[in-house]
Amino acid sequence: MSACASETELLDFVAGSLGCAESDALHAHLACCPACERMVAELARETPADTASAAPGAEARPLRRGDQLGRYLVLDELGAGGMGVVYAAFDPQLDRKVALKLLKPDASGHAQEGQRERLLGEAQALARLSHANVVTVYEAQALGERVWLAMELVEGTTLARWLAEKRPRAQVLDIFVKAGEGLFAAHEAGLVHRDFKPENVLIGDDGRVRVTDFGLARKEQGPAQAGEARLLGTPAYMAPEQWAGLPADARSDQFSFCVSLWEALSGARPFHADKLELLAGEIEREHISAKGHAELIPSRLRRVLLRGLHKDGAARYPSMRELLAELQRDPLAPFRKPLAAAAALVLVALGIVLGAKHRDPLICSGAEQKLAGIWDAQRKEVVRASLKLPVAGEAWRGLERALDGYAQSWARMHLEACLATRVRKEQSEQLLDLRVACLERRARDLGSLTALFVRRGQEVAPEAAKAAYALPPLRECAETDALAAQVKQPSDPAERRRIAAVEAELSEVRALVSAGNDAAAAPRAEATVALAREVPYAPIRAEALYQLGLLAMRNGDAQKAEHALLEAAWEAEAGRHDRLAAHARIDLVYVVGELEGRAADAAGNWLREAGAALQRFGADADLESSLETVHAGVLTAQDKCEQALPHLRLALALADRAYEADDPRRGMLLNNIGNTLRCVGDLDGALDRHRAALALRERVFGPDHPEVASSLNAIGNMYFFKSDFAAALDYHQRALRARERSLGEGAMMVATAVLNVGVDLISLGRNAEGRAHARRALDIYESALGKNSPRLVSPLSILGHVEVDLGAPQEARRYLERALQLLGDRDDDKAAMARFNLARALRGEHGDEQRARDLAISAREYYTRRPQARKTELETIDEWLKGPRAM
Amino acid sequence: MPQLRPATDPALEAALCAASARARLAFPLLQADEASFRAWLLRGPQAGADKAAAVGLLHVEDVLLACACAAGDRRAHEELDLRLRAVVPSAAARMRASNAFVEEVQQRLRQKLLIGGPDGSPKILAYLGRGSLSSWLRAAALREALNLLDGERNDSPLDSAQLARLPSGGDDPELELVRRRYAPEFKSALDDALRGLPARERNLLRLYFVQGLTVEEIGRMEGTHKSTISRWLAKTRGSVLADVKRRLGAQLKLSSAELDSLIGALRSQLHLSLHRALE
Repeated sequence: MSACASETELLDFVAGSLGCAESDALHAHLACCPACERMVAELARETPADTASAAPGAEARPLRRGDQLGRYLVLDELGAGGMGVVYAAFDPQLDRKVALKLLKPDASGHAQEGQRERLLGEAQALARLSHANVVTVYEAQALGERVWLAMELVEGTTLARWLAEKRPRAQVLDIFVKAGEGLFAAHEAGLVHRDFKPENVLIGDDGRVRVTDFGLARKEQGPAQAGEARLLGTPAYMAPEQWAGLPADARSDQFSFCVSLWEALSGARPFHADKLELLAGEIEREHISAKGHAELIPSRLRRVLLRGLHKDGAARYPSMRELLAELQRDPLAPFRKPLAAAAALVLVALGIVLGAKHRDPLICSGAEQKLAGIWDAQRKEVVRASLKLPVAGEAWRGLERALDGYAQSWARMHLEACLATRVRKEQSEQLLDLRVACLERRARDLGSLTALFVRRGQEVAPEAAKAAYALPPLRECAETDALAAQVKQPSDPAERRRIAAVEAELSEVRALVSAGNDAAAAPRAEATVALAREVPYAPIRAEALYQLGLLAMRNGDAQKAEHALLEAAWEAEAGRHDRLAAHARIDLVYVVGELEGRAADAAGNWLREAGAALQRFGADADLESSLETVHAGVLTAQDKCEQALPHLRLALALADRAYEADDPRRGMLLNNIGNTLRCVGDLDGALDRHRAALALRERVFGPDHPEVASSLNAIGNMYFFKSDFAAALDYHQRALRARERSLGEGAMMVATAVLNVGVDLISLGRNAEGRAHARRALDIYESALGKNSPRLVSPLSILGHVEVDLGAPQEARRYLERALQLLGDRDDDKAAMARFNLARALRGEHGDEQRARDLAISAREYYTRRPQARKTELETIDEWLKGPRAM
Repeated sequence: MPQLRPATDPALEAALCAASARARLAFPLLQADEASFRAWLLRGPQAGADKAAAVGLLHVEDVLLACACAAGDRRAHEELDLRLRAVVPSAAARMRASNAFVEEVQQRLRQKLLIGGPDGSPKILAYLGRGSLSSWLRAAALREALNLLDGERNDSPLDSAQLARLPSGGDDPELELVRRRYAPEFKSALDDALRGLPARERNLLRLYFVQGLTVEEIGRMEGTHKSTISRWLAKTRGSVLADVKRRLGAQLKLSSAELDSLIGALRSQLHLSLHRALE
């Protein structure tokens, strides 16, 4: 083995800066040196602590999700620009989201003396400024040689983007006047912006206009060469004095403001050259471009702007105040009207979107009627008829119970939400709106599901009850804290309509997913995610991605599931949709631990992430139960059945609190506990749980559902292991009938059940019947999988065994030779049993006695090698070996 | 101590001058001989790099600190201790979360840095200034922790025998039988397929599956975007699986359809198997 790499070499390697040859040599070394590989892994996996403890000279690496800066936790990168990178971050102390702006260090990587202090000083001055039209800066700090700001996170758009669409002139002016007021306030506080342009004006979803990035632009360090000032920002907005390298003042901002407004009104900037030197010349000469549509600017306004664009600062307006006053003078009044009308329209649209909340303020009754056509007596009958379920059957009664329960809870909560606001005055109208909107979403989910039942009918009947129990929990609509914490929907009515459209789609997808109609659900889920990505509202993106993840998870597509769920978790966290974030994180543990088979990873960070997400949401039996369940799954996958048990028991206790008594999820848990008890060898305990699961499943699904058959089969297996073959036979037969009815006679699962019945029969000495069953299983497997599938080994071996007993050694030999051929040179129980049976068959047909003895001896040899030598088998073989012709 | 060789290249001379000025400005009180310092700086650039440009990119303040440490300056030692305290605990605790262990790593590392490693010279001489001293110290702390743990570590307790005893996924004894039945062949085919990969690809797979690095982290290491790594992983996983299938087909003499159903049954374990086979 070559010598271990030095620290420097490893650091270069993970930074991707090692030369090709060195890198290849290191790869060769890594392949045989676990210690160096671990080093590489640890160095590549940088920890947030590195940033926090950054000494002067620490690398300026980009921040990543989860990194800590001051007291803020970095969430996502929002964008990067000339002056640095902006991140969304969370302030745990004040429980709010903020924007973090990490300013670029100088090109040289080292601070010019005083530069950092100046920046910091200005940022801190800005933090003291409070004005409605200036982005609030909460805090400014230095990190090594870099400066960062924590500021108000504005959900909305930039003026530049807003202007990309054609806007009425009056609206444009209105926005600019507000931005100008922000500039003026800063000037009054002694601050200069230095880089005013439409990109630096934010228009919030709340309609507020805010100027951002004050005082952050600065000249790049470097040798200033004659005639070529190297500048940051967009030179087109700069005043002549800035070109000349003189300090910028309030009137430089005035100049930039006028360039921006000119551009907004005419579609082109007043100075128009392509090259920097030419532009500087134009500005110097006040060469106002004729290329734009300057005529679009009314002559009076043009005069105002031209004064602001004067090359000589002293000739401009004395301050922004005078400029703004000129811009707002009376002649503009006629333009203000359409603006007011537009505002009124917006209000009307909002009223529609939010629901007619003022229509009936006096009473809170009539919630039930809101479900008319969604789930009422008439609708029930249509649904039942479509599903073709008998009125008195368990399956219909289970479904009816589930949906009745949901509808009643819905009405109760609707009433409760109304009373809390209107009668008891405990909560605000705003919160009522949130709760009602949430309940309306749930009503739509219910409607989509019943519509699906009617549309697809019989095809979805088997999964109907399960789907009903899988409706999103109504509790969510009573969690006022969580509702209030979620980011608000944008106020723009057009966007709200788009969100509502995505929600309607999502509701359909949910119904398809919960009804198990994956083929139809998958393309719609993809489409919904694509739609949701267009909408500026993280919670809905999270919901859409989550459904996509669930589907992939169910189809065993681990990579896709991980991707979608992870993205769902991030979006949910960004949108403060904490319940969904927790769901996604919990499902991720399952995906990583069981689908990807990375149980150890899942038991580590993934489980911790899920735990943290759950903590953030707060105590909730449903989520906690799910978390305990996936935790147990991870342990079981690591063969730690004993450790898994307490988690499963806790999961069940929590499920008892969270779910209705008949919720199928309880059945699944009982089933899991049964399997785990079997794994630790407690057959009686396992039997108990499987019985309880069976009872529940029969109540909910009726007698023939595949889940019922699974429970029956599991119970049969337990009896078989207890050597109670009569009971085993009874349950396996019931499982068989249930599968035949629900899956059709040729299904693979039916073959498994047939074979189990056959084994029970043979164990009871009913050989001829056993043979018939084994043959049927063989037929089903052969027609489904062909004649050479490894799955054929079991029925072939059983047939061989029983044919010898039935005195048909030739038949037996044919089966067993085939089985052994499929087994190859396997050396296990199945192979040993097949060999010994073949030996018996050979002797039975007076065939090759030497080969028969060889086979028997090789089987015997296998049994003696087993840890607990198989006494019965050995005795049987020894007995056989004694008599050369004895049967 | 390396001797000063006069820099004849005027650009290099200027770069050294500037570097020295910058470093001395940061640590005006540190005692370090200028000749030794410059010699140290000259060791920094990678072979073949433009020395004058590369010297300017070094973390010269940290190099000065290292140089003063090697010269026995008390203030430098204090500063070094500060930095050690900032990086060692988190690095060492990643290997074993125990205060005693962290303390031990810190002690030994300090000793090696200032007094001498196995070859007798102070380890701090190996710091070249290409990255910050803190990140180098962190790497050194990780190495020290690994050395301490050497022999105790047992990351791979699983063998192929255990692979054959995977717990059943459901209540279908037949499917489980298939899994168990062919697990050894699958494992050996997988081992062979992985052995056939170039060292680099195998390492990256290990870093992803066993060490749990993210595609972003591997992407940074490889100087490429995470989506490239993602695609590469999917492709490699696919070709490994195809290779496994080919080997199994030759060994078990099964038809393509049977192989598909066998692979289907074993696919759910591929991640787990990859994880274990790579260990």
